[in-house]
Amino acid sequence: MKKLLVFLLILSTGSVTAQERHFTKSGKISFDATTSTSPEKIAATTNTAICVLEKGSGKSQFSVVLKSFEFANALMQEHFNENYVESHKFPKAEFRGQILQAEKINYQQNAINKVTVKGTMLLHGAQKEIESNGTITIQNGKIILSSTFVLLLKDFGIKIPGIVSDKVAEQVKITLEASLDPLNK
Amino acid sequence: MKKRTILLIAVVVVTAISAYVYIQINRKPPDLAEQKAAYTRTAGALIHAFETNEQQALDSFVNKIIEVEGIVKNTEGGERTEIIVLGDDQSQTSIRFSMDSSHPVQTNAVQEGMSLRVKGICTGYNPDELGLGADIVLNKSVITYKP
Repeated sequence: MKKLLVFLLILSTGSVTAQERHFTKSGKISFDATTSTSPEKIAATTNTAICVLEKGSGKSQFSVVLKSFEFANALMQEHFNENYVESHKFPKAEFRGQILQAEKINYQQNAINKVTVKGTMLLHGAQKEIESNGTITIQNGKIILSSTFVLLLKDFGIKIPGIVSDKVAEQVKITLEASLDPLNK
Repeated sequence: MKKRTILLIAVVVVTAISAYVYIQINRKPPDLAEQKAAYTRTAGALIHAFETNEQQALDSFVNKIIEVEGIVKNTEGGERTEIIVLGDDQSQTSIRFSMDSSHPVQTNAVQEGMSLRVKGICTGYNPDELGLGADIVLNKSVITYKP
C-alpha cells in the first residue's frame, strides 16, 4: 500500500512538472517587409504578444492583437490594418505549435538551446503549417524564446497592390523574442 | 488672360494635391500627450464594459484614445517602464498600457499599488483563452497624472 502511494506521488509530481507552463504578455514581435527598392523601411513592432510554453511537452502558443503593431509612419499603419491584414475582420494572429525534441532541453542549466518549432500559423483568416528555427535560452531559471522566420503573404491571402509591389516584400521577415515567467496557478 | 487664369488654377490645384500627398505620406502616428481622450473611465468601469459585452466595448473603444484611472497591478520593462498594468482586485481582467518610448518612464517611477491615470489608444482585447486572465490592450500610452 505504501509503495503504491509513493508511486502515485511520484507519478503526480512528474505530471505537474511535465505540464508546467511559462508565459508572458509582453512578448516582442517585429516584422520587416522592406524590399531592396523601397525608399523607406516597411516595418513594425509590438510588445504586447502573449506567449505560452508548456515545458514538458514543448507545446507553445503565441497570440498578438494586430492593431498593436506600431509603425514609424501613420499612413503605413492604417494601410496595414485596413488593406493588408484587415484587422477589423481578423483582429489577431496566432501560432500554435510544438518544439521538436523538447524533452532534450534541460531547464535547470544555463544554456542557449537551438530548437525547431513546428505548428500552425493563423493570420488573415487563413492557416498555414510552418516550421522555424529558434533558440530557448535558459538564464538563471529565466526562459527566453527567440526566433526569426519568414512568412509568405500569399499563403495568407494577403495581396500587395501592383502600385506598391516594388516596395512591399512578398516575403515578410518576422522576429520574435519573449522572456517567460512561471505561471503560478 | 483666360489661359493664364486656367494655368494659375491648375498650378494651385497641383501644388495643393502634392502638398496633401506629401503630408499624408510623411504623417507620424499621433503623440497622445497632445491629444484629447475620447473617453475617460475608471479601470473598473472599462473592465466591466469588456466583461459584460465584449463586442459592444470593442465597437465603442477600439482605435479611440481612452484615459483610464486605476491602481497599478504591475509594471514591466528593462531600462525603462515599457508596460503598465492597471486593474482592480475584483477582476482577473487587466488593462495593459504599452508605453510610448518617446515619453520614457523611468524604471521604479511607477510602483505597484499606486493610483495612476494613463492615456492610450485601445487596440483590442485578449479574452482569457489560456487561463492567464483577460486583457484590454492600449498602445502609445502616456501617463497623464501621477500623485
